Amino acid sequence: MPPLDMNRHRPDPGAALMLRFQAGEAGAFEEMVRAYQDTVYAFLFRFRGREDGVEDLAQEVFLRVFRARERYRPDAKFSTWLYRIVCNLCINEKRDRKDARSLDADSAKGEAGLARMADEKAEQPSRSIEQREIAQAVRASLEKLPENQRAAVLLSQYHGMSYRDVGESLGVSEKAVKSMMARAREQLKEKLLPFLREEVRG
Amino acid sequence: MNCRTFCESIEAFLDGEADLVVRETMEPHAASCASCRKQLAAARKTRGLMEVYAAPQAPAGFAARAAQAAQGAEPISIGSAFRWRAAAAAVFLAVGGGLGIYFLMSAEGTKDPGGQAPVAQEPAIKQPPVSKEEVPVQRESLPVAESNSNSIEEQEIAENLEILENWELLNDPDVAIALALPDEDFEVLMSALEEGI
Repeated sequence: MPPLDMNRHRPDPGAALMLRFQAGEAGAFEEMVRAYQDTVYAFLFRFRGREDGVEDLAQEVFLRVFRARERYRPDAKFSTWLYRIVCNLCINEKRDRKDARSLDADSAKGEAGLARMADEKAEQPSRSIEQREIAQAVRASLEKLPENQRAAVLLSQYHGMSYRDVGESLGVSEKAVKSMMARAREQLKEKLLPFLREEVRG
Repeated sequence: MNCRTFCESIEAFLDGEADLVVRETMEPHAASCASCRKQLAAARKTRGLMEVYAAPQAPAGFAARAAQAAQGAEPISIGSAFRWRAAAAAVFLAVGGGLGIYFLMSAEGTKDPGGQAPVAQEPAIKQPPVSKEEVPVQRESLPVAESNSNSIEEQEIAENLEILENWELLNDPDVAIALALPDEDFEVLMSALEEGI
């Protein structure tokens, strides 16, 4: 089998890094992590709605990338392959956390809400009160979405993915993504209505 | 274009995913319909509000820590993890499928039917050391290799693989399915097989 020509994969920097990693190049894995750490971190943060535990989850993502290295094929976009791992982890982790917290969910709700507002203020103290309120409202709105819709919206809105790429990341068809996006966006619009100016209210 | 189609197409249109006909008729319809124009403006505004929800960057030193954690949790050399999985999956399926009977019968002697099917005299697979995250259930059922030397493990894995290849187990569709599973599903499969044995 002829060696892969890594130059063919220049347009996809992630694919090039993975090929170098697969070839055993020292430091390639860390370089790949450095290239994608912020985008993965951002997704995990917004999916979970808080920063607590995000670093551990992000490490788990890259650990799974490390372990699954032999399964990666450069005919797939690296980003969709990566986010397939991220989304699977998020949805499974969310499910596990939900089971663990179900017994004392009610008592924790109020405390969690206050903690999140404190987090928001601590994270971005320079922002105006209105911006913090908007961010808090967006966070709360995203949390209300079913996990697959939330993941789809995050990938589209914040990571610039096409519906096709979102579908590959979530393991669903492009048509299903279109439907998910329409429902999710409609819900988000309704939840954020208080922040829409009078002239745009329907 | 009617108002219903317009409203249904707003999000795809703003995401650049609408088809050509929709793309060309959205703006003209919005120009002529105040209600639809407000819907489009609301959708655009909502996207703008969502951008206010910023995310932090990964903390300093994260890449180094992640690389160290990944390499520290992976004692088996590159390539052998896959072969280990192939060997483990095939052994479980072989035992479940009745080939274990053959091994038991063959264990009494070193019968070699014309070199076609080499026979194991003891349990076919010695489990190489694995991290806790990998199929922990298997540790309880299989003997654990005392030596952590990668060369000995890889040799054992290669020997077991040769046995399995001779039995064409790697062509077994069930094995192929097991090997293609994501980590978490493979663990579930292994647990299920373990309970069934």
